[in-house]
Amino acid sequence: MKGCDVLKLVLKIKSILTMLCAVVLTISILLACSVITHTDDLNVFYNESIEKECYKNIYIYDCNGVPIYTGSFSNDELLRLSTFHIVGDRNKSITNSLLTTTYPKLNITNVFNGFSPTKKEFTLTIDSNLQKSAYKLLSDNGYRGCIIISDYTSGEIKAMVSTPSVDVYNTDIIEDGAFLNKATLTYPPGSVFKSVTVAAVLEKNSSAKNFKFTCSGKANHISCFHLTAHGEQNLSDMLNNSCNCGISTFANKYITPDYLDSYTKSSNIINSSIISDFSIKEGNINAKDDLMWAANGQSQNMVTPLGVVGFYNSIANDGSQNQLKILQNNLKTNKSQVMSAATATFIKESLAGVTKNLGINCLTFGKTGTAELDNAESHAWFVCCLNDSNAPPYTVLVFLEHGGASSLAKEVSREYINTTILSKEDLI
Amino acid sequence: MTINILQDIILILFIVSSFWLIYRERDLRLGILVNEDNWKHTNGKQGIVTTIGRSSSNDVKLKEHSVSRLQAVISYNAKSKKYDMTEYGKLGSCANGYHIANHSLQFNLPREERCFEFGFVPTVLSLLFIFLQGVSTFNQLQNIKAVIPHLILAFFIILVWCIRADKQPITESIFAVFLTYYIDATLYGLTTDEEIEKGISAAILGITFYTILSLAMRCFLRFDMDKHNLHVNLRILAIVGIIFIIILNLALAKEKNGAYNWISIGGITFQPSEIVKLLLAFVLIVPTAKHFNSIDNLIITLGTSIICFVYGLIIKDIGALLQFGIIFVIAVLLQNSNILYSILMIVAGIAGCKGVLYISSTASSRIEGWLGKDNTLFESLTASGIFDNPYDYGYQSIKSLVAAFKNGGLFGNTDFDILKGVEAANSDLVTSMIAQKHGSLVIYFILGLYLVLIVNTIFTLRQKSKIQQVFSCIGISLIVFAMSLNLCGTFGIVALTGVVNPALSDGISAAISYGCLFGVISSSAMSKEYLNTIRKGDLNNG
Repeated sequence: MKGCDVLKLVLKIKSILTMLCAVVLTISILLACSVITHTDDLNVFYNESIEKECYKNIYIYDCNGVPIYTGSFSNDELLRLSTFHIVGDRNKSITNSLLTTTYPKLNITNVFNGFSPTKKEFTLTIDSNLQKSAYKLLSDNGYRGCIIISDYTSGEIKAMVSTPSVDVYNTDIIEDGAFLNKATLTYPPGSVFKSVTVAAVLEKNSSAKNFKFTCSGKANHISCFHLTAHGEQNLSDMLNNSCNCGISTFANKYITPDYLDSYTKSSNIINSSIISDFSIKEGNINAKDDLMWAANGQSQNMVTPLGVVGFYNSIANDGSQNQLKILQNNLKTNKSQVMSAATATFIKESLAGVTKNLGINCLTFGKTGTAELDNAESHAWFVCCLNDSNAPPYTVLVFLEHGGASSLAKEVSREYINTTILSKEDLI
Repeated sequence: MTINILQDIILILFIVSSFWLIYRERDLRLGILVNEDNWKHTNGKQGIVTTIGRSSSNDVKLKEHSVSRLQAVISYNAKSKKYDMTEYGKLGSCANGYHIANHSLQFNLPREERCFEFGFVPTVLSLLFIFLQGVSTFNQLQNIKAVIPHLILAFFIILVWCIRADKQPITESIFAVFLTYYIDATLYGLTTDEEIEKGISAAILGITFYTILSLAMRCFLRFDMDKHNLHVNLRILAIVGIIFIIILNLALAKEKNGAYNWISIGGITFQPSEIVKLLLAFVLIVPTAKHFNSIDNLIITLGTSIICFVYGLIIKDIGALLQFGIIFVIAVLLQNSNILYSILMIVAGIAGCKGVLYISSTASSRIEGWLGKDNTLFESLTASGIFDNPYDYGYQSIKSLVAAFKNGGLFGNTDFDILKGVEAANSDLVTSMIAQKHGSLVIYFILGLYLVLIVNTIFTLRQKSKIQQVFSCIGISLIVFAMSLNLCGTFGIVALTGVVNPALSDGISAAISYGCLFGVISSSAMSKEYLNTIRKGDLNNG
């Protein structure tokens, strides 16, 4: 190192290496500053990553073990569409869906060690075949509404579809209201509520079943559908004919608005707790304003289709109501007696006539409902319970939003029961 | 997590004990005591090699015109118990010391009875660390073969402990600790048995490359480059090697991430630029007796540097260009005597690197991404730029920060891998991958180990010959520079460069260059006999 006159080699090396030490220390400080100044941003990105990972660890199967969601959505388009409102999507579009509610409000800020994803498996009470058929029936005919199938002996939901729906793999065109699960929203129930009024009265006064009324098509401010005069009827006839004048007079005679309100609560038709593992909207009955119309399911009555199913389940199950459930391994469901067996039997027998000439090849009972609206087409309801030892113990509810007369819902229901439920050999 | 905590404790103890040993031995005298009458020229701290001459840069300065600027180089040969002397100036006389002009120099060895005691502590700690890493890897893969690379490392540590005169292989221990992370990187993301088997083979191959090249380089640097024109011949060989590799690269390279620096030969894919930078470093170093400023040397130095720089431009590898620049700048700074010349060379080097930004669209877009929108320089240096463009330029860096500091926590997380599917997770982003697995504290331990490495190099300079000193300085500068670019690029502190992390990142080409460079840093000219002589106080005048 002959020419090294400016500074000795060792000194030069030491200077350079000391600078390297300074570089290393500077990196340490900058790194710490980077993390500290961007803590919030990092938390946001971390929680995003965790959420994605969580979605990969959710597995959802139907009651027969058919995979519906196994870390990713099914390749079966019809299954994706029909289960969208139950499974949800990764954008949390459906607030009460399984994907949204499985890992609620993740906010991992533990500094010692990170997040450990755990596999979450769900087996639904849903039968994917029933689910797909129900969706296909509604969507093929362009109906907006919902179909709910429930086992009235256990409270299990076997199918719950809502149309229009969303295909998570094709979100280019989405119809209005597609993200709404109509089974969980509230609507005016129309005449399907008459059974509630009758049960409420009979639970208070069983001798009221002997009530008779002559319908002229109009009573006070109440009128029957198309002002039809039903003539002299007993209570069974009134239910069978869906006589507004008769039921409202019956309610007005035996119960107070407060009592009807309290009964709707105790029978769970307006309670969101009607289903144990799925969040739904709370219904509302305010009979104080107008008891007579409220008794017919009009006025300010608002119930969910699931609430209606829960109530009709109890009628079919001799007054005993099992809380509805969608998860098969859910053991925390409640059971309550919402009416006596005698009341249930009376309503069943009364409503058998409604489905007598419907064309369903088993014993059934059911109730129609046309919920009239001020400035829009009516909502069409039909709820039908299969009351035959050769048929599965199902309650089938068809609700068509702005579907017009209940006859349409009745027809959809008939087709569904005949082509899907009763044609399934394994179920019969 | 328990293993990670134990490893953290070991690393703390390692860093503390290493610093303690370095501090304790800061005043060791390992050179020759040179006296003239009662005048003491050197105290033994000048190093293994003592230079005598008129120039002020010599260890023994003799201010007489009849003495050459570099008169002689003297070192003690413990085997023959004699002082070896190479004379460059006019001949002096060696009878009973060294006589030149009016000077009569006497040589003695210092006495250092207690030197290098407890030097085994970092070695034992590094072995413990390797053992725990082996256990952790076995637990993860459930394959007994996965511990073979760790066994090779343990054997390497024991071997260098045996062959080192000072029994204090701090550099090698740090190297081994880093290589345990290299094993992690190589075995990262493997799921099937077939993948694991292949990964283990790759890890064994990589570790073998690293350790053997490191040992080979140590042996190579023991040769006296001044003798038999060895340096001249090897230098020519290195230049030919550079040209051959460049031609090979240009002929066979395939584009990857905007650069043409990957070639595949016999199933092994590597970056030829990694070998070029090692050869360039060798070409730019002149041994003790040579002039850096001589015309011959300037032609070789500048010519080779320009060839390498043009090569870097052609293959569009910003990382390689920056590293060529660093080698050039450090070599000039250390060996050149003319300040103006040094400044000109450094300015040319910096201007060249800056010019790359105008030529390479990838480089300029990365710089733009790093700077972000309306950020101050400090904000960009604290990774604000990446958050301005989180789903484009900043994607990898944000993932890395989240993986290392959020998901990894302080003590690591093996249950959830945020980097899964991220390209280059075990090469360019390897620090993040390691921090995710072992905890974010590991990043600071790695930086701490680098501090130990640098400080240890400063304090062991006296154990090295002059060529080892220059080469070590270039080597450690290159390693720290690469680590800085990699780590800072990973976390958005500087723009991404694609430079891998030495001894950490997956890949065989890094093993070639950094294996050799770690060998350079750990090289020592001190023999066991020499140390024993000093310990025994055998003050043989030779």
